Amino acid sequence: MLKTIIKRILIGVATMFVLITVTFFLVRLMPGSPFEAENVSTQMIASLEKEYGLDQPLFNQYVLYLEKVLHGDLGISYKKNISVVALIARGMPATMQIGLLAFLMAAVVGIGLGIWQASTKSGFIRGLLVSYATLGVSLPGFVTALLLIVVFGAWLQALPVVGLTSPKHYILPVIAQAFGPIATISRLVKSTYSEAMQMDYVTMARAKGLSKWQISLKHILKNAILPVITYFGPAIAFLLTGSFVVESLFSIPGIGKEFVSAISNRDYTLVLGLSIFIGGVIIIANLLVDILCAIVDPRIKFND
Amino acid sequence: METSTKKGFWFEPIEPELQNSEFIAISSKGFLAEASARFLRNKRAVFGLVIIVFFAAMALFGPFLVPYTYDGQDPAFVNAPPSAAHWLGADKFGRDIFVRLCYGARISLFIGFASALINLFIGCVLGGISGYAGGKVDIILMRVVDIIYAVPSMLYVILIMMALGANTKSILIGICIPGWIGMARQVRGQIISLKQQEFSMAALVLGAGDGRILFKHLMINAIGPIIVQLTFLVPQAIFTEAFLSFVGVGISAPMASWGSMCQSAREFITLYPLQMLWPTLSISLTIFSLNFLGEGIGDALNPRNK
Repeated sequence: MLKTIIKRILIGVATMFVLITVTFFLVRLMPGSPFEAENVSTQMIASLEKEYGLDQPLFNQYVLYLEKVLHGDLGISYKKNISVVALIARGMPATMQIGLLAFLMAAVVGIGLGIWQASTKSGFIRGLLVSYATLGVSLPGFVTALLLIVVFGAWLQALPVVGLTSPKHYILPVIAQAFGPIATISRLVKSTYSEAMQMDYVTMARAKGLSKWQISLKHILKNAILPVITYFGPAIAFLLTGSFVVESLFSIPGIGKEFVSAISNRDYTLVLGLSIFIGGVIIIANLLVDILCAIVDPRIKFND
Repeated sequence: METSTKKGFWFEPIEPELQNSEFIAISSKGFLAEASARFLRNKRAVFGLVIIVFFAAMALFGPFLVPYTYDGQDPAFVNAPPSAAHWLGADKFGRDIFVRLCYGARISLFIGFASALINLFIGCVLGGISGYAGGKVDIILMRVVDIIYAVPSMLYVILIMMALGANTKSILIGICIPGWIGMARQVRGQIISLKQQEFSMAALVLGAGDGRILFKHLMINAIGPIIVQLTFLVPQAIFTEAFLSFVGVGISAPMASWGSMCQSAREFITLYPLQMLWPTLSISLTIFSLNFLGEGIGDALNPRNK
């Protein structure tokens, strides 16, 4: 198992390297100089480019950049004149809070709805839950967020939709982020849970006279949870890319909003730095989920 | 000979009226006929098909129904509600929303289906070669797949869009660079299990070349899962385009796409929620219907679902 974990880590490192290389050259491919603006002369641009080392051959720049990244320096946002790492540190708390809350909500509500759907005898409730799952999987994230803003923010005026100043402000963005993952998780849990319900050990547990809750959580769910844990990796990726839209729609000062505004300002170095950061977070998250799966389920021996 | 027809021995001659007892009254249908019958019984799938045909018709013929262009501005109709002149109203520049919705359908459906076909091609070729050749080729290709897969595709697409400029072509390139991964994995798995079966050995013994075995024998047998995978690629690509245009790197103004229409309606969402409703409704309905359609085709092609 140790060997496979080392292999996974090596792949992770290789991925990181490829990501940095590809994003670096793509960003350098982008048209125009990062310093181009209306009132900046060509001489100014030339001297600025010299200051930031952009007049050197591309390969030298690349080596220099790699060296910097290895030292934890993701460069400087030329447009905002502040280091990318500082911007990440500033945006991280908001993104993390929303992301973690949405993640928890998706896991708890998704698993709950999945169990409910698998064990209910009412056809009506089952139909309702199935339609929710289909809806949640089909609706693009920004559509959900916009609908929430229109209904709760504009029509009912029940909840605030701008910023993150009070606990109430968290409700809509977290729901908007969790809406899709809840549907996916409930689908997964429903299928694995109803499969596990058929097992002999469940009948056995029932015959022993265990309570409904004990059977459900200790015996069935424990055996049905693995696909959900495997989904945690993609879920983290989904929440991070989802934060692009949710944060800019709800004006939350997080990394996603920073990324979107960097895109529309054509702030190339910031896009480069944030891409590498987000990619890195997702690579590490996937790695951890892989290892977690092996710990949770001793049947997995990592033999692919 | 004589004894075998005698009563009481192993076999008895069948009574004349029972001679037709093994006659199969239902004419046996081909695979496609059966699959389409199964498909038509699935109400959700047929609903999905109808909606997609509706949007396709809108994309093809919609712009000829009304005398407007996607960028023609009419100051008299700024933010107008739906009326006889502008069926779905007009936006903040006085542009007809119906026509823009039709052009949006063109872009969405084109990107959806074109990228799905490109990914189908790349995925089948690379996945097929990887699964069929095995060994070093397989290991190298699958490492490449792992590396591309580890990074969220949205990042690639955004970077490529920024490097190549905001137009349909670069969206297609952006979607296709990470898009073939799922297809390649699916095809590889299928080919690996199929190549161990007897008919593949038979083809080899009969002297068929590698290319012929792979594409004429193995790939044909993997067609069901491939089509199912294909039907999931289309909504994914449509979703990506809408997301990009909404974030501001996709189709740029004045060209209309559903995502960019959402983006421009966002500013006055509380005043004119209808302007937001049309494009969001179109995106959701299309993705919904494509999912239903995909599920329906998948069920129909699976011969176990009789």
